[in-house]
Amino acid sequence: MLQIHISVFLVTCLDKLVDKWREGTLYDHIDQFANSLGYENAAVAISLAMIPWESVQDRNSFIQAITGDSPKGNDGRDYVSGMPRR
Amino acid sequence: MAGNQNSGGMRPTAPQNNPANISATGGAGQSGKQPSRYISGMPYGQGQQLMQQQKSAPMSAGPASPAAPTPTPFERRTPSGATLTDPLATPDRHITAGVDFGPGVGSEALPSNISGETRPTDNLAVVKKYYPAMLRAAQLKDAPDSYKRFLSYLSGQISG
Repeated sequence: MLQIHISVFLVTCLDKLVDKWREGTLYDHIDQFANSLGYENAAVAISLAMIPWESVQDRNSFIQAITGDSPKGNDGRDYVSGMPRR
Repeated sequence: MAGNQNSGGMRPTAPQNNPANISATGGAGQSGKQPSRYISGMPYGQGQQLMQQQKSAPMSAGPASPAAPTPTPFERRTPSGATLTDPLATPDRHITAGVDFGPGVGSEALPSNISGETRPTDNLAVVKKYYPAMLRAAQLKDAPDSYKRFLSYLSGQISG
């Protein structure tokens, strides 16, 4: 019972910490890869998003290299940065 | 007798006597020589004699190996010595040849045993596994519409 309470508390704390969309997170990577590679390649996009990219720039260079186009996704908005830009 | 009973004397379990604590790269000192080390358990007087022998004829330390900088994903080399961003060995074929995005031929060019009908099933399994977590992320503040559109597409795939 105590373990359940602790788990709920930790999940709640985690939710508080990640309550904003951040650049360079797993979900941002998923957004970028899915919109750059196409929705029909969702599994590939999710797998590539799980790579521990060292920076947003690294990830974007990779997308540029394999698609021949600049990364899509994010709707071009300026959001909270979660990773260093290089 | 006054004083701490644990003080003084040779303790075999002390950290300095643990072989695992010895630097593998010969880190002790900057003199370029291996440090003298007292060897315990010898008959009376011989320990001191061994110490003096070591001091009179020090062994030279091995060459220091400088720490190599960690390569970025684009600098890491494959077993053949190439990096991710090196020019292709086949410049007439694009890097995305064989997959259904980017320039070049698509998956129709792959041999039949590779381009089987298993991919949609595999895709759906991956999507179903991560969809709940991705859905929670869509409810974050400032989640971009492009991400929400993607999840909407996945929702259709899962329910359809």
